[in-house]
Amino acid sequence: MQEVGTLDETGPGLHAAFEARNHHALHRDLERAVRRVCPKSLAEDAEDLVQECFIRLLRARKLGSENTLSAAYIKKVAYSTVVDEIRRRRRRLAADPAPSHVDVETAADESPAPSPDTALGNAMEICLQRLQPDRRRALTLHLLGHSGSEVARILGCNPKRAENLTHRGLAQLREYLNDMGLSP
Amino acid sequence: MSESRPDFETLARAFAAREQSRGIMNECPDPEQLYEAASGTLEREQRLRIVDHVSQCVECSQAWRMAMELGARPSGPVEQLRPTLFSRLHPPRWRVRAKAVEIRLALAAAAMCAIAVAAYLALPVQQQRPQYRDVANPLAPVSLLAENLTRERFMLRWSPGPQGSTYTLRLTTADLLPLLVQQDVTKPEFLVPSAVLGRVVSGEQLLWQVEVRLPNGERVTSKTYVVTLD
Repeated sequence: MQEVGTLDETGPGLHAAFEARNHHALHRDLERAVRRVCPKSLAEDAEDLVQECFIRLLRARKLGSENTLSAAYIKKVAYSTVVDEIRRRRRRLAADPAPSHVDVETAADESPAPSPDTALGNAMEICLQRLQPDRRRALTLHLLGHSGSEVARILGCNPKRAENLTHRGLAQLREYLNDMGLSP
Repeated sequence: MSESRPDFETLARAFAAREQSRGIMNECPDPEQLYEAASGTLEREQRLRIVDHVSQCVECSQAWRMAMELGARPSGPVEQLRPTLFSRLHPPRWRVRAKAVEIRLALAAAAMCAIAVAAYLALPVQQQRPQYRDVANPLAPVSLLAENLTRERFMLRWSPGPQGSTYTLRLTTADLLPLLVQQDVTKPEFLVPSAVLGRVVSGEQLLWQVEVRLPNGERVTSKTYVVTLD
């Protein structure tokens, strides 16, 4: 975990910056948002991530960003902090395949053991890239858990077209998987 | 979406369980952009580019799901369906019936308008006194002059009001320059002093008007009369 400044180290303006919102309430909201997306491998560092969120909020406020204390912004900051930390760790693992300080449990959490689904997932990824772009996007969003109307909003098309793209993409994906000898 | 759920769930689970392609990791979008793409707030082109990336990046797929867990879901209006050529050529029955009712209503309205116009043009206009002009008050003084008046004897006369009435006389030039205002005249006549007419050229027309004050306090004004100075 990289070093992050504590609240007291960031200068006398911190409390003034957050005076409009109760410090404890802000801490609670950040902690809740961080813990909601924090993977098990980062659970021990959740408090550090919350502190990092504080620092980011303060920086954003100093840069004059609007609505830095809105619930949506707090969630976004918590999300960015956690994702950045996950990526940072993955890069470190990629650069150093056998780091001395990474424990077995963490490594296992970040690199799950091959499962029966993994082969199918890897094949799906190959097949997805063969689909037409619109179908691939619609199907990807559907596989991620988006509803038809959400797919339509993200793709910027009407729901009927989004549904068509998803259905046709799914049918085509199954054909490709069948060709590879995989039949989900 | 009405696909077979078990099959789809297998696919969705496999999609989440796939292995990370190492080559794609350096191209991962900024987490904030990822969050905004999942929220649908990012510009469309960027959004689509990120979806393309997510389709081949396990890490960003997980990050996308995390964003969804935090409530980053697109909201707002969905693009409306555009009418297809088929739907234009073959509209549903209810739409055909509604269209027919609309046409009938429009025809009925047009017929009503035509009847109203015809009635207005064809029927004779009722003859009646114009309403914009006041009815003459019978108590209003009326001029009793029959001829032009001389400068020496410029006597204005008018019909008398009830017993006890008093009069106010106003005399002006044709250009409405006041020559005389005589109040509290007790008789229905008044001899204008020749001095008042000193600047008036012979043959010039003068305007005069009388206001009678009735015993009950009511005031009635006469018409404006024209008199020529000989």
